[in-house]
Amino acid sequence: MSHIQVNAIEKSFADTKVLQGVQLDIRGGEFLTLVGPSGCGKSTLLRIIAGLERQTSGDVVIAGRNVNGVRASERDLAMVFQSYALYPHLTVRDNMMTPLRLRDLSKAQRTPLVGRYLPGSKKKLAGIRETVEETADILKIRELLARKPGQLSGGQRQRAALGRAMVRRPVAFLMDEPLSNLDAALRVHMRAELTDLHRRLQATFVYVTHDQAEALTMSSRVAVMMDGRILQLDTPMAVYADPVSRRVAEFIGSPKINILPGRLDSAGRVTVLGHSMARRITDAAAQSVSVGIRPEHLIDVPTDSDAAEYVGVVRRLEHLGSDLYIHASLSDGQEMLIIRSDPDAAARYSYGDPITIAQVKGAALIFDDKGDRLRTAPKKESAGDDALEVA
Amino acid sequence: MNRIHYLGESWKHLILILGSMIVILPFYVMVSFSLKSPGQIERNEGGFFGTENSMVDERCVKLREPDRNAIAAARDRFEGLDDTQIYRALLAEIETDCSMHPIVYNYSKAFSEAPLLRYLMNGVIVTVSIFVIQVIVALPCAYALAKLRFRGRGFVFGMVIFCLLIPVHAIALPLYIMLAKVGLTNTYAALIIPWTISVFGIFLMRQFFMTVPDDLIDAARMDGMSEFWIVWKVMLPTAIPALLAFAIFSVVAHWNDYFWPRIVVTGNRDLFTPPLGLREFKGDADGSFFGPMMATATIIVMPLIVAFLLAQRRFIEGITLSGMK
Repeated sequence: MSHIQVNAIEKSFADTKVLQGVQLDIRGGEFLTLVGPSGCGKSTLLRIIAGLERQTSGDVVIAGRNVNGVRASERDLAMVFQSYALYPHLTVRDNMMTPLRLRDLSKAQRTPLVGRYLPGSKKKLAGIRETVEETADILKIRELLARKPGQLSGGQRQRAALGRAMVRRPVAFLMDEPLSNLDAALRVHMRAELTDLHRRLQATFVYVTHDQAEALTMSSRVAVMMDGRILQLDTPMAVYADPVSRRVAEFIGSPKINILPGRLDSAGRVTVLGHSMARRITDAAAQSVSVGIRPEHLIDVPTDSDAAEYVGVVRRLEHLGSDLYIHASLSDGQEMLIIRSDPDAAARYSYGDPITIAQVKGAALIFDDKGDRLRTAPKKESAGDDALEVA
Repeated sequence: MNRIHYLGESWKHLILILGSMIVILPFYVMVSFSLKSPGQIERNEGGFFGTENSMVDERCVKLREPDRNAIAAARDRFEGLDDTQIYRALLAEIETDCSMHPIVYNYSKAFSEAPLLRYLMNGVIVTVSIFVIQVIVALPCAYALAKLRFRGRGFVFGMVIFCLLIPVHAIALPLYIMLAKVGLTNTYAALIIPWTISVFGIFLMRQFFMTVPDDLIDAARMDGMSEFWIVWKVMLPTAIPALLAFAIFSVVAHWNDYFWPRIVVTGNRDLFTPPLGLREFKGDADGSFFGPMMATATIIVMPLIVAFLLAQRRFIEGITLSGMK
């Protein structure tokens, strides 16, 4: 367990800058997730930490040691790949033994055929075997040790790949979308197992994914990456509830956050679709803004309700069992809103029905025209007529 | 609708059957000749297997033809006969001695007329050496071309493709001169060295390595393998099907090669490869030896056919390559 520092890492492939000065401090023992759309540079960053790729500039420091010129195998990290990357011609046991063999046996002892008879090999091999079996027990794959990867299911391969990473007791585990090749149910299950494993091993996990659900469910901290930069690094809840920019807000959360065009006047008042919001923006110039509202912060209300803010027409109902998402187009025909509702609401609506929508107060996120978050002033108590205004 | 469909199908089969007949016919003739007596071969009769149960080896008779001494020595056995009659009687005895089943004749001649076993062994030495060295050269090359990033990689690969276009016969003469200058003609080295770098092998293996996921190589690097060991411990085992396909191409080409051994092996019969051995049966003053010649040919192709049948599935896998993943 040890912390990893990434200092001002830049990486260019030919003319394209993939990473633009990434700064990251990974604490020992934490589960840090790098999340972002494909092509944002998250995998490249992970490969640079691993030593599989060389950065154009910047430093990687692992446990206080600058590892810029150190080979991947000597950084004492283990990596789990999306395709599992198990050696197809070796049994699971041999797959798991490989990293230990390479680390613990001398060159002479690794010589095919004769190596195992050299002094010392037998004892070391026995030790390696034992480690492999212990690890297999933790992952519950002992009965698979004699099989080859071709005879395993996706989940079993995943476990074998984890086992191969674990046997070395590395400083940190690097995982590059390890669950992407699994089916949905198994992915959810493996999420729990990985979290469990992290708790048990108390090791540093650096996890790359494009799936925000994985990022939110497993991590201690999430780094949202876009265009070669880390936009926000915080706990999953903070990233979700308090995004620093519109892009982060749009990337995290499913279904996507609703974005409505608004107008900010010089007094700091935000008007969206004819409604002014209660909260004021502190020190900002008048400009057009976008207002983000998460689907769970919109409520469908009876037409005659006082709280009614938006009026729209139901375009699509998305029934997820526990939740119902109503897609509605607003009366101006331009904007679409997604509203989370309880499944019973399905009985009330069908395609083309009118719907009135209210918004949970204080939940809207406001972004300026460049997409940066605008902070609202803390709401004053009994602010007179302002309090009557919605939102 | 269905009838039209079948008609279309049967056309395909008809064409394939015709094609396969053209391919199989020479083999049919080869095997058939190796089973028949010279007389039946010349008269073109006896079907596939030949109908004679025994034939007289005329050469054997010629060599043992009774001379004056033999007749004198045999006078005691044939009392009361004159010399001409004794001569005839002796000749009859010799003919019975020299007669045998055509198959036995052809195949025993194949081994006795020329040191065929030696030729077969030469063939094995040459083809196996060529293949092993080709693999030793091609795998690292293909790995570098497929998986390593370096300046000029595209150019180097372009040169590999370009070399595929050069026919062997075009460079045979310069190659021969070079070998002759260093005094290597009439050696195994002359038979092997020109073939050790197979651009086809590099190309084939490179195409295969392109399909191996990069993750596998990265995983090996993380595990601490050097690039050298990645080639032999990770790439080689995953490339077995492609290597088998290449092995068949390589071994067949060099086992059957007549052109190059004929050029560099001029005098020393100990270095003859099997196809050169066939020349021993070419017709001369004694008449032709089609039977034994075809028997030799059958023996030479047999190892290849057996190997192909054993590896047939893998072979097709290797050629299509796409079926791998």
